[in-house]
Amino acid sequence: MLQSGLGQLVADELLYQRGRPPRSRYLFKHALIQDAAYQSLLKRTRQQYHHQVAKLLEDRFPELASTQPELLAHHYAEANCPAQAIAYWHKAGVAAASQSANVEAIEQFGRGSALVEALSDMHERAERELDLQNGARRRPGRD
Amino acid sequence: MALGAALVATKGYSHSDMGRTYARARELCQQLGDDPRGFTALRGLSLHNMNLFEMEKAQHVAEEALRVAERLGDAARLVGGHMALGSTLFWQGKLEPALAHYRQGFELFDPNMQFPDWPGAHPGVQFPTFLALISWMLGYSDRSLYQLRAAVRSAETLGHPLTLAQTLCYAAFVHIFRHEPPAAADYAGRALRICEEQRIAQWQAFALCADGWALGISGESEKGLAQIGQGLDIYSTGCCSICCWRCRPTRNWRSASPKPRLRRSPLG
Repeated sequence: MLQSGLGQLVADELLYQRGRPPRSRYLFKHALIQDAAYQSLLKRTRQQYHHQVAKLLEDRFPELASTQPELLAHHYAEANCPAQAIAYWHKAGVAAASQSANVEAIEQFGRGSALVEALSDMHERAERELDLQNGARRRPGRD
Repeated sequence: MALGAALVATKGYSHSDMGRTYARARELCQQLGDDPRGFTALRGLSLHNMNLFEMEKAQHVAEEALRVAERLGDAARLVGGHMALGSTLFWQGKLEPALAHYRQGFELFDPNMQFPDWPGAHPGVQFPTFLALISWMLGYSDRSLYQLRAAVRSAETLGHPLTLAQTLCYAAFVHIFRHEPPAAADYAGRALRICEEQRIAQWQAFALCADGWALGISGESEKGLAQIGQGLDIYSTGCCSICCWRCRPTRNWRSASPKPRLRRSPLG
């Protein structure tokens, strides 16, 4: 069903197909088409899709989750899962900062900080905000 | 590593974003009931206050940081605490007590220690750098150079651009004190390349000024003056909204200058 749907979209010239099925990659022909398709989804449906993508990346592509944590952070943020999104923004910031990519690190820590208020537990909120601003909790003697 | 340390590297110690970040971190630590991470927040605040020339406040915060480190009994934090307090004393000209803290910290320092959230240059390099500066100030010129070269070598192997840029700038300053323009220009030029590549604003400003001095003293006064002007511009944009004392002479100097329009440096 998925394959026939994708085939239809390729035939209607809305998508480019790269490679042969079932390992093909599909790309929107124009960013505006992608935007229109994305915006036409109900908010709840969109959040479900983002959550599915994030879970899939986490479960099936763990190396992607460790090399591109910002990708997981984006999907979890759009899925309205702030706790997971914050954890991945923090990972992304730490990875950037460890390579002295400080401008990128500031951006990523900042995106995590912007989500802190969405956490309902006040203690958790303070803990995560402190992770992002000051550094994560470590075992004694390691910090 | 977190936001505070990344802000220190890019925007400099006196930037208001850095002050806000560590003030908030300190508040959160208190909220969480004396969280040990408060040490890093105190170190960050001490550095920030020091760079706004609020020395008394900086010293109090650094003393608190050292007390936290002593209470936690953690060697890496103790090293950091002695570094923090030593620095506030050094910049007030209290060289003997500063020296005592630097020596105590350096004795406790172990090259395997980790300082993951440490704001600023690596303590393992900062100790010999500041010991070199004190040696110079106490009149031990050759010892100062020897210690400084060791600090530069150590910074070169660390893979931490901020530490290397800062150490190279201090090396340039000591050669300025010694009135040695070629060596000052060499260190400043190396620092400048790192700062431009890594977008390290505060030390880029210092490197430009050091390089400008070397140009000026070697006969290229207009080019040197332009370079110093550019450095001061960068430094003053990194300051907080109230503007620190070091920026004010810039404006006075500008308004008093017979040539207010400075040419941009070819390095700019």
